[in-house]
Amino acid sequence: MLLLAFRNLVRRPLRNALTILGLAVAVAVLACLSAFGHGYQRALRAELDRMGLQLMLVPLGCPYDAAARVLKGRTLENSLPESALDEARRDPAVAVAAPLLMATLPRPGEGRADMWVGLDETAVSLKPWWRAGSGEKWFPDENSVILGCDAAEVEMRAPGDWFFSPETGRKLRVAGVLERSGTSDDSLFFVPLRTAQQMFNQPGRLTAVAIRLRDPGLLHEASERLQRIPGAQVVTLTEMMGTFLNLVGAVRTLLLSIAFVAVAVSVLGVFNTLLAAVVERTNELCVMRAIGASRSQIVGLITTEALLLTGVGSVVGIILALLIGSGIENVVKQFVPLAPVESLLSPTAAILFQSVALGAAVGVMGGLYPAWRASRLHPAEALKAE
Amino acid sequence: MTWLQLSMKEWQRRPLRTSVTAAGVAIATAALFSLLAFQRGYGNGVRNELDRLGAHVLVVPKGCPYDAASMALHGASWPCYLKEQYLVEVRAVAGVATAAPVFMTAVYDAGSTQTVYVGVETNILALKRGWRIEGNFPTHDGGLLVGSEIAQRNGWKIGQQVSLPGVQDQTGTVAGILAPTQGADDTFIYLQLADAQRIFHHTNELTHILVRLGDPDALDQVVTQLRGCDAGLAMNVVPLAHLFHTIQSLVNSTRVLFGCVALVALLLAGMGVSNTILMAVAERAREIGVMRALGASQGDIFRLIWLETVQVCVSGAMAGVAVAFLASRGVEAWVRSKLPFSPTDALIQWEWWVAAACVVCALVLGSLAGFLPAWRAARVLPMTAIRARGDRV
Repeated sequence: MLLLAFRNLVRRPLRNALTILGLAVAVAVLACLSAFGHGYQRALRAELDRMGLQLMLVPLGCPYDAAARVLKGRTLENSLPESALDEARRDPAVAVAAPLLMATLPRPGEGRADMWVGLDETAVSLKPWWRAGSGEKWFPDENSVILGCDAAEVEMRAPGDWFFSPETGRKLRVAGVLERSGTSDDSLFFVPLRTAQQMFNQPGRLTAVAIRLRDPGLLHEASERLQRIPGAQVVTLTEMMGTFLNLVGAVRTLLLSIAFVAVAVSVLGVFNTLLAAVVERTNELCVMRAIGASRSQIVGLITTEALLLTGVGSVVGIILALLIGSGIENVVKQFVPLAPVESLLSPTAAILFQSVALGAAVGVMGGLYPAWRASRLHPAEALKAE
Repeated sequence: MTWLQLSMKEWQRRPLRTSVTAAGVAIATAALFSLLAFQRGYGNGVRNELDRLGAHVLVVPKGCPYDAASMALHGASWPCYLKEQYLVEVRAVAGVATAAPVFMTAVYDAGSTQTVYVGVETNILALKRGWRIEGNFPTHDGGLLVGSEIAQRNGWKIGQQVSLPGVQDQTGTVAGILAPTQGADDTFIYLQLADAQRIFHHTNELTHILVRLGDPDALDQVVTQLRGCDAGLAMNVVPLAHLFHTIQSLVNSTRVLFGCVALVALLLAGMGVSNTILMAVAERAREIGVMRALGASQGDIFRLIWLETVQVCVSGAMAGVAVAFLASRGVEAWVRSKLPFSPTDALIQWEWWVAAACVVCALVLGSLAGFLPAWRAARVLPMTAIRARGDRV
């Protein structure tokens, strides 16, 4: 019966190809979107876990926006006074409080902007993945710089080389180059905090303070105390993640619903194609009935055709999703706050299964009426001459 | 018989198939229409809502200013408070015409109905220029100014002594009723600031300060000064114009994504149309052959089939727009439940140009979809008419 169904489909190559293509596109969009949601959540959690932070002190303004910018290595308009750092360190619940100063250095000549980060020794304990690929792990003196691996490649510098920054008029020695970590650190320039404050003319100012607590259970009390530091706000990273996931979730739900519209449209397409196939083959189906095919066999035949059609459509759709997925990902990343560096698409078995199940459901829904109609045909009609 | 009538024949011949195809176009167009109308409605809604607040700058406690603005607009209990002495400093800043202190809180009674109490001073009237009050603004202790919806729901009249919903053992006198504003104000109960602070046990605390400037163009300077004053380190100064831009740009940045997905749906509908018309052409090969044999030119046949396609698409699109408009309430309620920040105004509004854009879109789609079948039909040879079974093209 499968063979028969297949032959019937091949009889109308253009029509069935169009139907399959339509379904494939709908399935591909749906699969990409649902894979994207899963991947985003997973990648975001992994990124935050790796940092080992619980809190962040940021300047006034939207704290979520500020924290997201700091985590992605972008500058803020506002800054914190250094006194906030001292107060944070005095808090009994704080294990590590690492100051950060971020600055962008526009390089119009090169057509890009470099990101410089000033930090002190405490930062190392917050970045366990910081491994010097070559050279020293820490700044030997105030005129040294550690480069992210991409930054080192672009600047073509190795440890020991001198590095002159014309915009700030500072000559620095490259102390080390970081191993590739797959985070935004790869493209950054790290210098000691004091050096950064001098270079960018921001004495006594910080962009943010990253905080690790002695015990994550103290989160609530600690954030309440830290909130009282003048000129600073506290963001807990779990809250922040929740906010972003909500926002992204809202957008994703809306997008998914439009994708379902696409699927609904393709159901109608399948319906029409099969209906036409039944009507065209009235004669043939009647002959089948006349020579002994039962009603249920006819229903089975048409349903098999429908499932075959949508099955092929789903498989093509999944292949399509895998092929164009990375392209779509790049587009999507531009619109998403705090887009993790890792791949967002995770084609899990569940999603593949869902897509195939969806295809089957589409086939059954689209094929039901045509199959029923085919089963109603009377064998006697075959005898009527055309 | 005119061209149009001739092309309508297909509806009679294959009513089910043609309607299903049109329905596909209708669904896709409905999605497109809802999306476009929603984008417009959302932007307008946010703008109206901020306008109704009457302030240029919102001073709120530390925390996310978007959350804070949403609370100030829709009414909620605030997690943290401002000290009342900050008000003095805000008022001292040059360029501030009115600084209205507000204490807002939401309480729930047994039936979990939310009642929002807003404590204000008389100077709130300088901000809410659109307010029309029946009765008086409360000037005595225990006086209430009630939103129209609340007054209607509880059947309150001016001068009536009422017990405050959700608060135990507290009564007030309705001094005035607010004419409907179409905003969240309709569901608020306004009372005197001191009363509100006393009833809810937050003496000398505020939730936010609404600031109106003498000259709106001086916004940036005033904001800088507000951030620079002593209290500036303990509060968030939010210029509402910036807030509007941020929200709008967030909505705009998702527009491309939504547009792409909607386009895919429309494209699929187009493919469906193409397919249906191809079937129709294949079935009618004999008929077309006869027409050709009787003297219809290739151009005539092309035109006929093409018209048929466009007609299916346009009627589908019109139906889709109509359905989208009729279903807009349901869609709106659903979208509202999904979005973290949404204005109280109708999100999906009827606009002629949006509807027209959708129909035009379908027209273009139909023209493209009709091209292949029409071309195939035009190539049918008159000879086909003579063959016994001409269903293969």
